[in-house]
Amino acid sequence: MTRASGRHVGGVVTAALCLIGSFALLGSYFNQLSGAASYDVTRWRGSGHGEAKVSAFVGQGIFLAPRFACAACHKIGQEGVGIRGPNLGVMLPSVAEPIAMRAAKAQRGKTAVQHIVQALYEPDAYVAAGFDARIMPAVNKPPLMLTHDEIRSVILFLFQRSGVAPTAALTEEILHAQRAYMTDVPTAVIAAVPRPAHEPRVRGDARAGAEHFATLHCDSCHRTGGPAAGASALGHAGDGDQLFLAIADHPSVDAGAVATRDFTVEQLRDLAAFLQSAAKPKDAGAP
Amino acid sequence: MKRALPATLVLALGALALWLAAPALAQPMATGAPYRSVWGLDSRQVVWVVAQLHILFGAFVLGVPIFAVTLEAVGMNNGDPRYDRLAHECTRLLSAAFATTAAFGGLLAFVLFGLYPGVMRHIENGMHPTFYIYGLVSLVEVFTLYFYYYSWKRLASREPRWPRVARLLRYPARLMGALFVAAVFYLFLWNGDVAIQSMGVDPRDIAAGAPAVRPAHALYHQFPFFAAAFLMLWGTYAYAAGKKNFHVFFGVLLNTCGIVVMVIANSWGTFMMSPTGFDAAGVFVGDTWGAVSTPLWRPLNLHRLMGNVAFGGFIVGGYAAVRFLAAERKEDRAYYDWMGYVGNFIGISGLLLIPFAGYYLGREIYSYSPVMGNDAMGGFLSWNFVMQAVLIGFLFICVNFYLWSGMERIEGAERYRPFVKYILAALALSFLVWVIPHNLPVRPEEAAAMGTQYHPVLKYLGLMPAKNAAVNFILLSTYWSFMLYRRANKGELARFRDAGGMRHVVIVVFLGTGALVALWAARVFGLDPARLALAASVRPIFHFHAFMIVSQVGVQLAAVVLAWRDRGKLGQALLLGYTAFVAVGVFGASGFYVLQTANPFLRHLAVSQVLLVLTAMILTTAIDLAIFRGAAVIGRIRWGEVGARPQYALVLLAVCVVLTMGLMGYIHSGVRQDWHFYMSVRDVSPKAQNPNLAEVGYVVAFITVVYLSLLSFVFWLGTFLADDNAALPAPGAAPESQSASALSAAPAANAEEAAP
Repeated sequence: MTRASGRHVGGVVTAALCLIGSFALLGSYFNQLSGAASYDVTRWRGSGHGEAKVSAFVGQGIFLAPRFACAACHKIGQEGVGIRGPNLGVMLPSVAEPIAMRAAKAQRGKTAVQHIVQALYEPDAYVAAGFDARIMPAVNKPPLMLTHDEIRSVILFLFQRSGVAPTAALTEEILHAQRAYMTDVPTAVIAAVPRPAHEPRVRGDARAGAEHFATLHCDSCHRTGGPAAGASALGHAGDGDQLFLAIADHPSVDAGAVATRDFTVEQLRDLAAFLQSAAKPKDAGAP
Repeated sequence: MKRALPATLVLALGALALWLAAPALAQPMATGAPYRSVWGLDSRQVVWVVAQLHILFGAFVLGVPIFAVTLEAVGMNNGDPRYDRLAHECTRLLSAAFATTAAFGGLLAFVLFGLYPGVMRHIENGMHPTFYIYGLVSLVEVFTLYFYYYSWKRLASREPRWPRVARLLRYPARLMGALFVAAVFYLFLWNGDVAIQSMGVDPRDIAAGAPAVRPAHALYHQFPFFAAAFLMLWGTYAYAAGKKNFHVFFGVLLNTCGIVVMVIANSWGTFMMSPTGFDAAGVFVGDTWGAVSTPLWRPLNLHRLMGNVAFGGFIVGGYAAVRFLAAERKEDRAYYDWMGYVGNFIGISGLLLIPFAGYYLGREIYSYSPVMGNDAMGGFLSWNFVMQAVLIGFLFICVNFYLWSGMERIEGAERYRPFVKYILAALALSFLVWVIPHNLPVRPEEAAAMGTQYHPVLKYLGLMPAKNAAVNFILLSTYWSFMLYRRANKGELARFRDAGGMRHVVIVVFLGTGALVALWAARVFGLDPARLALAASVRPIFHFHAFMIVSQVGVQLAAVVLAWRDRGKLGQALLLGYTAFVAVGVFGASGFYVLQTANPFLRHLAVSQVLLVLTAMILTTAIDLAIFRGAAVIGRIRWGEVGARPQYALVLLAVCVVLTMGLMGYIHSGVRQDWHFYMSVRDVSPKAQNPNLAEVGYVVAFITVVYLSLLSFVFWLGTFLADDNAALPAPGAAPESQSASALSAAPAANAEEAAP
């Protein structure tokens, strides 16, 4: 081997090692960029039913976690990238309502909670128009295998993002709807699931809505059926769901204004029914 | 003495490693557990390293015979001895690497059975009959390889034994060969109707827990008889046609065995990725065929086959580059320069097709399990794909750099140098789009400044329409580079009517590509929106795309007509330009609209892009072969008279392809996450988690260093087999007919005088 060829062999080895080293450093650099720690799939696991904390916050973590990759298919409004599944927020003009409101009228005879629970456990039972069947996996089955508590957390998160407060009553309603799918849970445990304080209703109760209108102090700024001094009138003869959305999206710009995002879905539904019934005789204009 | 030094170093390192491992060797080992460890090592990493090394050696010994026998056949037909020498040299490397592959295969089996006995019990239950077939075919392969290598000189004569029999069987044998290749493709590389019937159900039903036992379609039962009839017919023809033909037949037999071994080994991997036959308790209750014929088996077979060819080509190219740099004789440099070119050509050929096979595999993964697809492309493995994108981009840039710098050796190439900067710009632009992830990692203040987690502009470049456009542009740009290289020393074209049989080839190719594109356009046009769960109002979107697709058939026709009227270059430019306009420009932009309004149609759009690019390249190549047949040669190719830079590019290509294979090997396994058998049997070992990106980088880098070191050692040993004193064949005997072959840009043999 001549000196020149020996030099080239050394050069080749050096070039190869530089490339390999660069690759290793690239992995390390990307690791820092992506913030990905060693990926532990047990991170989001509760150690058993009832042990994991159920909350919208936990649900948000699960929704965004790469392990479950909900966000890979579902956007929430403008957030996220997923397009294989329905947008769960509002993205005008194609998606006018957040998921909790759409769910409320998706299937006749099912409440929003019942619809969303079914969508997670039996996704192909009802497929939103414009989307493929057999794309969404049953989240309680492999490979996702979310526990019932984790699923409840996700639903709370979805309601929260729809402008509905994740209250204890809502949690109870979800748990009640989940019972049909708890085939892996002992019967005694299911039997012990308390019934919701109020039976979930598909339609709002106008009478209860009238009470909420007063007790929640809506009447301090609004009145039904016509303009009021210093505030807008409420009531619209149109779709009750639009009212529902309008109330849920109530802006809290004025000091002392009620934050409707703290209302329960039942309260919202009742208020919408009340306002709709109040507006029926005459169209009093937009809220 | 000098040659003994590396061996001494290896032995010394081995002794040092044993001494360091001595305390761990004394550790007691667990028995009877589903998981074990050995010598305190991480079991997962042990299996990872050993399996990947086995796969890398396997890719080499399966890929190289494919083009070795092709080169031998080319040499047999055109009489150029360099092809025969190159095929022989490749086979020599092969025989040296084969034993190492087998050794790693044995080691892999031992570590799997030793460290993961519970997992292997499941594989045994489902697939143990395949073990015996694998072993028997491997045995036949070994002896075929020995015979193929050692009989090279003995079976060199081209004198026909039985001329009449050879003439009689020539066309039946070729016809049956074509049918055999088509049958292999359809039955083992494509999830077509028969394959789906053999599985009995839609792949997505399998994921949802389909019936466990699915007998194979009748065609699979008949295939062994058909294969045996083909081999007997071809063997008889080859024997009658002379010793060299008979030798080539053994090369074909060697490849047949290699492919059988590959598809069996693949079935073990895909059984873990897309298993069938498990009950709810994770107990295997299915049958062996069901375990083999899983939804991802055939797509992976296709992907691996192409990957192996590209891998083998680049490794041979790297080997040739090192030999070139170390060569002292002018003739050696000329030969190894040419060998590097051929290796690179084979690598490019595979590389151009791999993205299509990869897309097909990805699509089947999504069809099998959208969750797995999301995990891979949009989930926790997405950053691994960014790393892969960097490597792929580097591969393409190196390939192009090699072609451009290789033009130094071609007189007349200076005419095309101005184009290089445009190709480089196109590559760089596409590469940037290719590597930009959708979700850029940003700090909170950056996110606040943007108002969202995603960059307002760059986020679009991370979506599939942008990626598809970029990869198609990269392919077209690389193809353009190759076209320039091919015509670098060609002057005035001969008349098309003088192209002889190539004129008819152009027509046949056009009929094929045109029909393919037209059929696809008709399918897109007649697509029922309801089948994609879309509203009828999106039908105009289908019609628009169908029109754009079918318009390319018109341009194909125009290109052929122009070639017929001796304006072939214009026809090629028109076809490639229009294809780039439609597949990259129009469909790249419309993809975003489809994404929002008719998302399920996006898959059809991606297939359309692939189809247009592929057919354009095929027809352009056919036209190229015809119009440059008999073209004036205005300069020589001075093989061996090239700088060191292109050789370094070849070496880096070889390193990069090993890194890419290593990374993809991890992704194939890592996508299962904490499942030994996806969705059926959980991994409950203490380290049931995916490693982070840094660990992936380090382990793949380690594997690459070990593999290249071992391969270099094996190649170095292989040189002992070579007859150092053998006279090199006098280069320069390239017949004129070679200029029509795809390899024609290479064989300007004589370093000083010969013209291609």
